[in-house]
Amino acid sequence: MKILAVDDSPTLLEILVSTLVEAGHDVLEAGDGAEAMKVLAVDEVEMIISDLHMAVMSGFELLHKVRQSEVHQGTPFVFLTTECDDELKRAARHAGATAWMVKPFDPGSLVQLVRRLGPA
Amino acid sequence: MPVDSKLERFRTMFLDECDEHARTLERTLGALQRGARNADLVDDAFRAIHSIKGGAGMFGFDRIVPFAHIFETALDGIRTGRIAVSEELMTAALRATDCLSDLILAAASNTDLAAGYENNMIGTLARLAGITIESASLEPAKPQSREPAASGGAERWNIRFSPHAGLLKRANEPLFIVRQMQELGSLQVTADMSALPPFAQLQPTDAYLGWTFELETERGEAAIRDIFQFVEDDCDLSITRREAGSVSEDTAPQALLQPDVVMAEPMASTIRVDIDRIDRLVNLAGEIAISQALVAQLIDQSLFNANPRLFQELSQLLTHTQNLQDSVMAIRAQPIRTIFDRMPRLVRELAEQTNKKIVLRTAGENTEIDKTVIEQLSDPIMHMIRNAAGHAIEDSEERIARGKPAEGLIHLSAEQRGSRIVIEVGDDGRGIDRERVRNKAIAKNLIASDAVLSTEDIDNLIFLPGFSTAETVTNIAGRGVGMDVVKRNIQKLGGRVSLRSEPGQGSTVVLTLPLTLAVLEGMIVRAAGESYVIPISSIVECRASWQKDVGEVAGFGEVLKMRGSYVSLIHLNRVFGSAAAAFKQQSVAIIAEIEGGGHVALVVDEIVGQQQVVIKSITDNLDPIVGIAGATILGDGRVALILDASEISRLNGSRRKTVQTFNSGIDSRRNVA
Repeated sequence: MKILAVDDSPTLLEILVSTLVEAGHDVLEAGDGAEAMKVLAVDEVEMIISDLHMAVMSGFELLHKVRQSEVHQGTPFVFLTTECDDELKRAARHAGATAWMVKPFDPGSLVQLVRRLGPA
Repeated sequence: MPVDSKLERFRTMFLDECDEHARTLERTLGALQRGARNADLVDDAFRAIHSIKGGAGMFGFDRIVPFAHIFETALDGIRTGRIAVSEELMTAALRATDCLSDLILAAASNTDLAAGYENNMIGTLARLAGITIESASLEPAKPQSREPAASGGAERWNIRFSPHAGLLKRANEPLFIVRQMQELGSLQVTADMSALPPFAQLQPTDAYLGWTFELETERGEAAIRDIFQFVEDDCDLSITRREAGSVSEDTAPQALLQPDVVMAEPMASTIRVDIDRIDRLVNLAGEIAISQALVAQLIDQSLFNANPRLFQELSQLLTHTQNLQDSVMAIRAQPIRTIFDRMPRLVRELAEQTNKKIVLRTAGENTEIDKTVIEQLSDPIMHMIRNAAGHAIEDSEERIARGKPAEGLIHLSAEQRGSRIVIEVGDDGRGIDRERVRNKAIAKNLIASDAVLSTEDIDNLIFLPGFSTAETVTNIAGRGVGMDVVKRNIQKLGGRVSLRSEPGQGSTVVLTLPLTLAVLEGMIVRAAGESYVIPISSIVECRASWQKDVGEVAGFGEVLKMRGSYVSLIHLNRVFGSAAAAFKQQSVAIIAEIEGGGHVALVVDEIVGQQQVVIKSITDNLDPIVGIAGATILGDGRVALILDASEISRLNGSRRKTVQTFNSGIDSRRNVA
């Protein structure tokens, strides 16, 4: 599956990417929401996994833009964040997030979640 | 890659990243403490601590996580306006940053800080930010685990799930839900297609189907609700416990969108590259420059005359090569910010220890300089800042008495001038007390009591080894190392140090450094039939008619008289050739600075010229050779050794005698010239 991974922490991004690559996925990476939008403008992905707090464009803003785009309005969007506040989760749900996973994440669970959300 | 080494790599990467985040905290909180009120600063700080917390959890740094959590909560409070920014709070936050840096450092070096090391800081921060610390809030978020329901034993559930029309538009997919439920236990699904409209009225993006699930699972209701958390608002959902069974039919719809591909600008990106690869590139670019110079030399003037375009194209090639070299060098360049950002903490701690008020101002943080140079600049700059805070800046009462602002100022700046970087470390403190410095130098036998010295000479005495003006050794500045160490370190980098000072007004130390260590500006000289390179940075002057000023001092051998003082004289012919090599008429004495503040005069047969040379290490293949700093390949393709004047003077047995030492023991000299 072609997945876009977005995180402004180079380390976590690298871990995320390597977890997904090892599970056999094609992974594109972006260091913030703005970069992610640039990637999405040229590449179509089947899933987006994004951090919440990022400098240039936050995860929420990215989600909002993704949901407005023609190509990716239906693409599963997973938040991967240290936040676990219910208010935030509700807000994410309203904004159109597909799932929420709390960091630190267990690579096995992440791979499982991705498989679950992926196309049949 | 094996899992362990991979984890190790991520860990190192994360700790580097933490260092960066700590500096961001330092910068942003510092600005806030000094009175800046800018939402971006708070956001930046919040994100930095947030990233530290996230990564620390991932790597199991369990002392960093709870600390970062409280820190994050405090910053979040500020971000959302719940907590007001105060100087007191920011000072505490800066200290907390220091404490956090210590925790990171401890994690990086696998050492354990004393138990409870950070507790005080956590307490202070929490108190100021009005956060109640519950033990629960100190717990990092754990990966979600699947625990069986408390009741135990399988239960049967009846779940009705009727999506609203808009569910699919939010990128929810009923199939995911089905799959998640399958993981909970044994599942039977019935589709309800009663709401499906005639085909003509069907909106492809709307949801029409509903499902009834019969699930047998040991997990409780919470686990089931969890699955629906993200669709709750877009469906009708009922979950009831019961004992029944039914037929299943899995008819979840597929994603319906077939998008067009939109072409747009390609993404801007960065890549991480191993430093060795860059070094190879730097080397190759150097080689190309050399080969090109070689080719240019081989092409005879007559060829140019026959074909004028050859000359034109060759100049073009020259420009390109130069650009290539510059671009390659630029890859290794880093902003000096990496060092400057560490200094506020130092100044803060020094001010605290000395009970002074000191402000640090920095400028030119974005000036870029070679990575290797940066790595070696940190200590000298720290040392100079310690000096400024420890010695130069007066305490508040004294400053007020002298009509200065109570707050002392240290400024730190960097800028590029031509092919060199100039770094200034200045203060508005006492300035150099020249009388005291002079007396001290006499007392320490560094100069003769009747030596006539310019103010500049006196100021430069502080660079002599063994010179330290502090009467008592404090742990701020006086640790036995003085400005001589700073000077030596800077010289090792091919740089120079100078000082200007105004009594009562302050002093500024100016460091001038090459942009890179891969090339140096060298003077090409000939001696004993070979070419040698002497780094321009170490050359003070060149003398054509030097023979008349030669003398000899018992125990020191030949010396050259130089404006009232004497420097040891070394014939490179004798060092590298035969001992009997004669003076040549056109020979030149090159006066070079040596480590420890003295000079040496190197006699060479002739000066060929000045040129930039690419430094090649010879220690890759050979043991270190005393007096030789490296080698280079000249335009004519010949190898030339790069000389280290300090080492040569040592080799000659002069044992680091300085100009001043000669001056005090000069009576027994006699002229031989």
